[in-house]
Amino acid sequence: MKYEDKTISISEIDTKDDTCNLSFRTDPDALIASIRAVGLINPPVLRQRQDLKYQIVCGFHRVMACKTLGWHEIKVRVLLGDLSELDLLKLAIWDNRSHRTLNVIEQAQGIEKLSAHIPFRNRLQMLSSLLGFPQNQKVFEKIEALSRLQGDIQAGVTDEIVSLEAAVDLSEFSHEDALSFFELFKVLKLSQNKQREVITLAQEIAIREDLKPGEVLQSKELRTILDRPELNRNEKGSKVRAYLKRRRFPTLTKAEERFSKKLKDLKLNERIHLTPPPYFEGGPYTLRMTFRSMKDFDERRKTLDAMAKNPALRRLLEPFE
Amino acid sequence: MISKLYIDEAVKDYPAVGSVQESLTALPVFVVSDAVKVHEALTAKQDPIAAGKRVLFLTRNKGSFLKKCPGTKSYICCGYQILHIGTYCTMDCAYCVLQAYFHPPVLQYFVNQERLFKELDDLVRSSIPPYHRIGTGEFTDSLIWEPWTELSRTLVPYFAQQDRVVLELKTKTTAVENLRGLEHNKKTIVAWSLNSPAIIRSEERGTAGMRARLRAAAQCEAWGYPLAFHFDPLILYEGWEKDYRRLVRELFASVSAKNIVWISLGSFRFMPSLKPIIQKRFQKSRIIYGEFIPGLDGKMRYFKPLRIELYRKMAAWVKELAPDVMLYFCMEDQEVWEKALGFVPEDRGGLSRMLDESAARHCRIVI
Ligand code: SF4
Repeated sequence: MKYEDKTISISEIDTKDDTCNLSFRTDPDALIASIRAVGLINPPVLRQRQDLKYQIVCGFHRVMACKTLGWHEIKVRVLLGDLSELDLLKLAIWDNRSHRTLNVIEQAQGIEKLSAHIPFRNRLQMLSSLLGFPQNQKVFEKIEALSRLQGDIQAGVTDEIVSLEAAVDLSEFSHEDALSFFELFKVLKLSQNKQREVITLAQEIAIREDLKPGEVLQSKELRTILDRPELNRNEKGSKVRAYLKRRRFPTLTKAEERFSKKLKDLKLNERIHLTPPPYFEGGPYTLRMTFRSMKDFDERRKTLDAMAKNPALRRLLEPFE
Repeated sequence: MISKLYIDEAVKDYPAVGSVQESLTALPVFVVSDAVKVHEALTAKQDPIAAGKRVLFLTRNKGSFLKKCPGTKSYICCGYQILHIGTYCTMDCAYCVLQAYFHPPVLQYFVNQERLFKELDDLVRSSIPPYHRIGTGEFTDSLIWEPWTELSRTLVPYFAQQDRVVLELKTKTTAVENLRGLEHNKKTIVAWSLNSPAIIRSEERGTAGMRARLRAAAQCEAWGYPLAFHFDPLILYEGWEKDYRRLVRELFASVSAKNIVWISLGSFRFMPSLKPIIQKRFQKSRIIYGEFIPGLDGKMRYFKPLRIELYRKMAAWVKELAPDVMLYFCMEDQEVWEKALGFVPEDRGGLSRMLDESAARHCRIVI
């Protein structure tokens, strides 16, 4: 690749042209401090467009840092010859990858920018080696999905507010709905699985009730949970999930609540636990008892005898009546 | 609509291949060394599940033609035997398990039927194993093959000559023309899966309408065939009670209850792996958003009290119009039987026995 070293006026650079910009949220302060201390070590690489303005290919942040420092002129490397947009993008990517790995959002942006220039049949292979992700169709689809998200949520992925998998789920929603989830996750800081559970529950409630997923998250009950100052983040998270589950599975939740109520009538103590079959589908009930001594054992036995005679047990075993 | 015919090189000289080719003359034909070539062609498509419905692969069944129905111990199974004539389907139901069952699913038809009849001979001659009910509609629809094959014209007279086993042809089509005039001796039961017009419209692409199915059933009844019906999958949706009640009425207005060998009721259940397929391929479908819980066999099923209510009502509507008809549940447990029908099959000799007896009464088989 041929180039020419030049000093040009910063005003000749079109800093709004981000065709080749891939870096997502780097720390400008450190770069400004470094340039202030030792000057610009690596000149940015530019291309002169037909309108004679310069387009940045490598070194967006360097140019912006120099601009912030009030420089009027800058030493640059201007590419010579007729280069395609694909060549320029490749150069920008390799420049970034020469000193760091790209994060998933940058990979997503790379996929978005490069895809139009790469034949469909070679796409996975070329993009994975250029952008540095595993050559796997599923991984590719997930990263590609991230490019559909708004900047706030993309930032949420790199800041680990939204898990990658949850972000992929959110990419299927409208921007408005995706933002509603994002706002909720900012407050609750849920694990990946719990984020996905919340997304699935809210989405399915929305389908069942002919609403938008964002509207489900705006419900009065859910807002009330979030507004309760006495609850910590984990407690709010559990209550939000329980609320969504209740709304998604009303009959099952009622049966569980009825079971808990009937269980109380049995007056068991904390050393004897009776658990229903999962989902009351027909597996066995489980009775778990703990004891430390013969005396303990005798006491539990008495409790079990009383339980066997208690009509509440029969009622308990008929969860649907 | 079939757009390509693939022929497994190993079967290209079989007579059945020639006759299929004759009825599909306009199609491009590809002779392939094995199924992998067909699978490769399909997996390259954007929707391989849909693509698998548009090619026909003629091959041989390397395994057994007779298979036990894949029931599980956790639920009461009807003890059915499958006659494995081919796989997959030209119709496209959102809930179809075959979408997730084969990888990728391909419409394939087994032409090595000399082995099929050998297995049938063995079964019919010996009373071991003691099966009395066989069906072709488990891995495919029984009658989609009619336009291109001689299958029912061969199977129906075959079963007519013996008195131990009945054949059930289960379908959502109206392709009964080939059954006209066949010597069936009541040993072939023609069966339809039924659903409400709303569900057929939204979930069963390319299938015959409800009234068309019932007209075809009435036609078969007129030709003397015993009939069966499967209300499966029953789906809970707004308006299901009104729709299913009307469906039951339409059924008994179309055919006589005394010619019905059995009616099954099965609520919608699905392997978890089917959910993303439905979400992707049937984006308007809402059937997976009911109150489903993981069943004891790993399939998702409606929460039990919902199933019981659904069955109780269906059973009451059926019994109101056909008190003596043999009604059974497909893959349900004792509690559901007891609560919805008031008895468990064990009390009457077991479900298999009950169905065999009904077949004996209607089809005159010896059990
Ligand atoms: S008719 Fe039966 S086999 Fe065919 S797509 Fe529908 S469910 Fe599947």
